Amino acid sequence: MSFGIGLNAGLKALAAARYGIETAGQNVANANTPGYSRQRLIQASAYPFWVNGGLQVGTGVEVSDIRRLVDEGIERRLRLQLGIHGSAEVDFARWSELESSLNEPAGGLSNNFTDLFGSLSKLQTQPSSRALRGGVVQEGSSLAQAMNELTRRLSDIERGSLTEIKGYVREINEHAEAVAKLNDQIAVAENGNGGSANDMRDARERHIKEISRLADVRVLERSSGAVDLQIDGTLLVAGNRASKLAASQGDDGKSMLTLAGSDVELSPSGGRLHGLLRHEKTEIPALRAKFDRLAHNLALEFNRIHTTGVPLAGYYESSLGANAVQDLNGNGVLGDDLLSRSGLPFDITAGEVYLSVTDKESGEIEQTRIAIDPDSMSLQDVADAISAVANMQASVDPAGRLRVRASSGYGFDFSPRLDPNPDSLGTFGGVQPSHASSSSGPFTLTVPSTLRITVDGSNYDVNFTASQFANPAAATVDEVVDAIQSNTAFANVGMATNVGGRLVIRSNSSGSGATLGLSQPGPGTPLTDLTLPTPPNTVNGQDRGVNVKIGGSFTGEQNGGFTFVADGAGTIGVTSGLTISVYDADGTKVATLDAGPETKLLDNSPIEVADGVTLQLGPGSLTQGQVFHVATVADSDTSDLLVAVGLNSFFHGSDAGDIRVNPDLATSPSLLAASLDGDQGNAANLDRLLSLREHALGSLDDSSIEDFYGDIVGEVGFEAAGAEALIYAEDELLTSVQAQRDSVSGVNLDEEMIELVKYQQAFEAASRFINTVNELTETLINLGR
Amino acid sequence: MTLRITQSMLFTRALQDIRNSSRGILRAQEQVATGRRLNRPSDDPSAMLRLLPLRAELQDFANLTENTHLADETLNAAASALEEASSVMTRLQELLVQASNGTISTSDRKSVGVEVDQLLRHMVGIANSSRGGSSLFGGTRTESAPFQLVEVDGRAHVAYRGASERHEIEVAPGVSTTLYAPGNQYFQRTDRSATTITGTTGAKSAGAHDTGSGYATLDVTFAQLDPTTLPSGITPGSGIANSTAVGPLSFAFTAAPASLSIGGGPPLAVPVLNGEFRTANGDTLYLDVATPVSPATGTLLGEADLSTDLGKTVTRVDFSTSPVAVRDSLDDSVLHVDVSTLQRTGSDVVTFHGTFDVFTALIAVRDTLQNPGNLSADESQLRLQSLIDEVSNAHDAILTGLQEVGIRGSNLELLRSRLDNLIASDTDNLSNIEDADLAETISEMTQKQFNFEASLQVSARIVQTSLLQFLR
Repeated sequence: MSFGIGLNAGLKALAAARYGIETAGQNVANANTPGYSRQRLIQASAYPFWVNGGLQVGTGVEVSDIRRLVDEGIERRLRLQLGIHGSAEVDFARWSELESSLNEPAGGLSNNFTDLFGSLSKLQTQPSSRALRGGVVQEGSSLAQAMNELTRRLSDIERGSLTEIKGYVREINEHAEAVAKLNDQIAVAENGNGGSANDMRDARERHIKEISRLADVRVLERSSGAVDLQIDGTLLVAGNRASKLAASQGDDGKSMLTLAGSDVELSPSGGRLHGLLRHEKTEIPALRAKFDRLAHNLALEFNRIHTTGVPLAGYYESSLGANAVQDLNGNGVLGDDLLSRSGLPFDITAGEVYLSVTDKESGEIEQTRIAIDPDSMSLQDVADAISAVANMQASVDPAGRLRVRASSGYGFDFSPRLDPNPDSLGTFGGVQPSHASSSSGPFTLTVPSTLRITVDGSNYDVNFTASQFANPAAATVDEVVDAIQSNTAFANVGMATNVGGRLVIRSNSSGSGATLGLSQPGPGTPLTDLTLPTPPNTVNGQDRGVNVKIGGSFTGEQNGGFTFVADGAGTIGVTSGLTISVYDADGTKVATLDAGPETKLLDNSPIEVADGVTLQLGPGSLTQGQVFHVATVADSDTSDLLVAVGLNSFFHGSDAGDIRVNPDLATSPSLLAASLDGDQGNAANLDRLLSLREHALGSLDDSSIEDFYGDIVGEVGFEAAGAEALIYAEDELLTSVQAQRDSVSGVNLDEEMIELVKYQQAFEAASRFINTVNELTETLINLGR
Repeated sequence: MTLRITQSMLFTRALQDIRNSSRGILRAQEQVATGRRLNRPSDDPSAMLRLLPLRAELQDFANLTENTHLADETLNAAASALEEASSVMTRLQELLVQASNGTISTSDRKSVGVEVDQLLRHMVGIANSSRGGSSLFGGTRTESAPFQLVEVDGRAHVAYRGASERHEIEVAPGVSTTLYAPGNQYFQRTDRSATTITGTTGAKSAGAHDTGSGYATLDVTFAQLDPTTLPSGITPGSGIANSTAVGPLSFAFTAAPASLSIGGGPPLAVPVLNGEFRTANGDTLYLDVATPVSPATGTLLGEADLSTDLGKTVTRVDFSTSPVAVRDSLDDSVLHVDVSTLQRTGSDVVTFHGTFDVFTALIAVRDTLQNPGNLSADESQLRLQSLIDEVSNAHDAILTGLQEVGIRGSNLELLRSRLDNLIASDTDNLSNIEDADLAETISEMTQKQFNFEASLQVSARIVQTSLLQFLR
């Protein structure tokens, strides 16, 4: 045994204690360094040596390593939590932003809706007031502008995402670069000498965590100590090489995340980038789509009512459509494309449009039904159909819009109003003598046959032949009319016409001296076949015709008509038992009116017939079977043609971005269609607009316009509240995972103090040991003296 | 697992706690400052879903309240117009009583007539009164004056040009009230009963549905002798138009001495030119008669012209059909006349009973007083007396209208209090949903503040504590 061994052991103990003090010092120094992992001295007793063949003597202590205290599982969970937290942060920020865009309940769209409906209700009290009409236009504009503004704000948020994403991509690239560099250094530092590059590993971990906050990465450690990073399955860092992320605008206008030089889109499933991309691609477009749907249906429903109303003047003089057709078949001609494929913003369905033409002088109204079939008609066909109506002109302008104009002295509208004077032909007690069939067609007509019409003593023979009818056994009224009218000699002195589905033959000469008779000289029995009266049936005209006046407004739900038929001959108000039957479009009798001595039909106040339609008659005589027809229109545009072409609409545009009030209304509020019958105090169309407020619309998931909006607000509110709750929860979770990490890797100063004291004492003890050995050695040396 | 607690954990925890408490304080402070519990949808999304419709409904109610005020003002205006109309009718009644007194002189009567004429024009003015540019009594046709006084040849008639639809506004949810009613309800409300024709011509009312109103005059004039009924020897005389006998007239010719009797009257020697033949009833017929008359007996037909508008439009009566409709060109009304007993020309008075509206009554009184038809004093007297009842009926119609307007006013009162209740309950509900309970919020805030301070103190204390303080 030599004293050298003892000194050596003392020296090792001194060194170990110094290392211990230094490690504690490093820990204390980095107690507040983010990402720092506390280090520990790993020491063991050195190998002993043998003396006297069995006895082992210790040789002191050996320092084997200074190690980071890290739990890789907790680190992984922390990275994951950082990603989730980053995504939740964006979620919260975005939803709060969207929520404050709505500006509810202080001053959002809900107030605009209330104000618009409020202004309508105010106008209802005085429909002719120019100021109140202007108020409605103003509130409509405010609503439209609020919707535009909201859309603009949403798209700003959506578009701003790319800038934010680009910033984060730059950050990720810097961190990835740093990770790659550290990978290299760690591999060099650790390879061969077995120690661990503690502080470099800490730095690398810090960079990885920064990346995780922005986009979740998968971390794979190689045996060399280097790590590979993957984003959405693609290598971002491989050993000492880092690829670059890039963000650009994709073909759909939305941000796209790729590796530079690649076009494979990456979608991280966590981190801020995840949140940003999700909002830009899903949440905001969905919200915008909802507002577009709201605006689209608001415009559709408002315009459906407004286009079929009557303005202050009682008619329109000319009107230009707001929406243009497109040349989708590419033949260079606008207006020849089928309506179903012409790019109009609203769908047109098969249906009908009723056009009323008003003679300004007499107030006489002529109502015409125009059938619309979007699969066989073009806009030009519609213009032609309107032009075919007397005193109306329509054309497709060079921009592809429908232009409608009434001749001078006439006005038009598309309202469902009742024709106040429906018997313009005088087939119901008129001054000219007339006969009507007792039933409506089609008729079983034997051909050939001859009908003799005797007008003022002259005979006109109408020959019915098989070629005039598609099927003589089911001859329609119109075919019979055409066959009779084809006798030009008769057509000069009389006329045949279809009145409410019944065949009417009328003379053109008037007065009590005019006569009309029908007979069947053979062959055939056309009078019987056509349910016309058989001889003797000569009737006289009269000097004063019966004045027919229809009033009220139709309250039924189906478009149709009422046919009024005299049940017998006689004088209104005189002949006892004289009645008039009223049939609806299905031929069902809806009323029998007393026209005898007790009749009310001659009174000042109109008598309701059925469904809100009233009738007033002037005095005069009727012939059995005489008939007139009045169209009863509930919806004067079942096809949505007027809405689609934007004729006299309230709102222009068709989504939240481009909705606006028809600028013509702003310049002349009198064009606002408040009425349904042209009276200035009539507010029936305003009633319809106001009732829209309560209507559940199928196109809005069976809710009203305001409820649909309320649901959007509620939904955004729920999302924002959810995002807020989530971010707080994720905050707590992150804190807790961080606490777990700290509990393993964090520095506790008290602990380090104790370590310090421990190693200080060890140092002192080792010094004493060396001193003791030294004294012993000295004693020995002195022995030898 | 046993947690190692490190200094940074203590700091982080303290920071987190402070953040949480200050967030709570911020929220409480916002609620106290705005007085609202709901400041953004996320504060309580489900309450938000109830809040928006409730606010819209309240706004609706506010509009309806405004409507009730408007309706109130309009009703007041209508009521005062009707009251004025009623005082006009009272004045008319006074004048009528005064004028129907037999002692009044003709000139005095005429001057009363002038006053009645002014009353008539005043009444038309009242019926056309408007408020804020809208006619009160024109129904939905608010833009033009609903009543029009038409005067042709001294005959007057008031026509209603307004709409027959009521102008209604909503005053409570689902309840509408009439703002502008069709004025013919008040000023032309009538209860038509049978028509009578009084006079000497023998014309009778056909009992059919006539449409005239008030008084009318039925003029029966001689038109012609139906030529197909003339036997040889008889032709119309030069004065035939002055004949008074109409209808079927029997004739009997006696050869010797040659004489002719018409209608059972005394025989007149013939031949004669423009002989004045009298019937048994005393009516005359002017004929040229040559002998012999063949056949010796038979029936002549004297056709008549009937008119109710002073001859502007005439209806020829050939006695083959009865009744005959006679049309008045002034107001386009129709009178159905039973001509089966018509036997002489003349002017009959037609009374459309139950049709004396305010205007017709005024016109009838005025015309009787001014007497353009030169009725006898007794006749005028009689007519004025019969008009007293009619005027009182017309007045009643105005009073009924006034009553109706009054009822509408009191209904409005009820509706308004109902509306107020609805507004109160909605305001309550709204307040429950969106308003912060201040006492609760403030105590909550105080509690949060206490928590905040406590966590600050505890944190401060904990982070100070370290082994360092004890190691020297």
